[in-house]
Amino acid sequence: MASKCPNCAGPLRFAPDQGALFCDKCGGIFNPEDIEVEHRDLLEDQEIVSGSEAYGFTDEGEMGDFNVYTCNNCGGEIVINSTEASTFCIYCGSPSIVFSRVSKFRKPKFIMPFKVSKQEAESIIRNRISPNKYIPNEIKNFHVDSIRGIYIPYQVIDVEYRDALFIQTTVGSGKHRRTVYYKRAGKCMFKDLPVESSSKLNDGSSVRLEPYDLRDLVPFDEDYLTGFYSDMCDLSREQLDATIKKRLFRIFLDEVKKTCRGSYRTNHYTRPYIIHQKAPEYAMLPVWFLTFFYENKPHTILVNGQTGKVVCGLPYNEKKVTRDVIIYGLLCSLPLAFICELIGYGAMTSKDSDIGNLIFYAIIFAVCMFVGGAGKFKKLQNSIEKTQSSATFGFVKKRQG
Amino acid sequence: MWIIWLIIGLAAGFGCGLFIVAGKVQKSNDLGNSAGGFNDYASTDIYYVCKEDHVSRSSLDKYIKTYGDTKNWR
Repeated sequence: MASKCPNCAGPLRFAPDQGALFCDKCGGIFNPEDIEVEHRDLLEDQEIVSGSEAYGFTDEGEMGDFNVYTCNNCGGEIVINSTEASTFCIYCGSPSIVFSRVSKFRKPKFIMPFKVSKQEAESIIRNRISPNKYIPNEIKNFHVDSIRGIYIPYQVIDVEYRDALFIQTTVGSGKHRRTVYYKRAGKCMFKDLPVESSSKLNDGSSVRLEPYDLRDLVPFDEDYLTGFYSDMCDLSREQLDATIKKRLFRIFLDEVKKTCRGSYRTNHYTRPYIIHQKAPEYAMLPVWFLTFFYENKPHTILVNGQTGKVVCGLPYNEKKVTRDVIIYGLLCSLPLAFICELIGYGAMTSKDSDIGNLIFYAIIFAVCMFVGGAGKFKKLQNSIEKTQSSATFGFVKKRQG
Repeated sequence: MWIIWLIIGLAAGFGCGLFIVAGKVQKSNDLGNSAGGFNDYASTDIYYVCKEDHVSRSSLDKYIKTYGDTKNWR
């Protein structure tokens, strides 16, 4: 257990719809700030055993990264890796928090409690995918227990960013295409920029859930973690600096590109310099995850735990898509062919028109339509592949059981 | 001659079909491309110390000498 109900000693969990700790046994509602330390069941009071000792592995390797705790509620084994701070007992489902890890492992300064409940996250996901007949039924029939709420560690920064860029673009097309260079050296201030700081989720997937409204941040209290999973920040100072630099560069470059004409090709020079206006503030932000396999490929649906924004690239049922492309294709092509036949007949019967040019333009039109349609499908496929991150999948899957 | 128009019509028609179906499939997908960017986090506009267009590639070395030391900008 994590925190116990002061009334009945039942397990408390944070309920997003209440915005407070809720006791499933007696229905009591409490603010996290009102829970005293003596109501906390400390996992660390138990004897901690490393994974290698517990399971007899001689190779420290991966197993050495895990510790084994005993659940205070049922006595079952809880296996936690080196960065997890809250989890659930897989036997009795009791929420568990490693309080000492939270306090020793660079304690967060702020936390943004979940505003979107699990049921709301489920509803949001179903509303997104159910109306689409091309999404396979195996995906639509997911179970609500597959959805996991996880607090992700972030560093919130206030910085002055300076950079000198030498940008190359191309303008024009065909024979008139030429390369153009731009010099852009400048500086600007960024305020309250969240930078994700977990090495296990370092693939940019959570960035797509932004923006968060950081006015909802509250001073950190471990009780907000009950009922959710969480990871602590495990990046070294150097890794964090590199992540911050990469994020700032991307934002700065995207803004600077708007001042350059043509299609962006590359940037030949960058010399970023960052001045922190204050020390980065460690905060935990909420995300709902749903992961699944489809045709041996991992997919993830993410839901912003504050705003309900959904990020997903879903696979489609290829048979249904092929069938509908043929149906829509025939429905469009027969009238188009008829119109072309009419125009062609009119051209043939008219003495002044050039049937050859007409056929040429018609072929160009047809090729453009076909290439355009195929390109749209290619773009769709690329967007699906962007959310097939094995890093994200692995980060969540082990918490889904 | 009608075969030519039929082939052209079929090619254009299937292109339309691909467009329509891809659009329907894409409705459920959202990559979050409207993710937090400059307007969400910048508290000031970019102040440019150098902003030149249509420069030559050979001017890069001089540019680096003049503006490359971003740490010591005034």
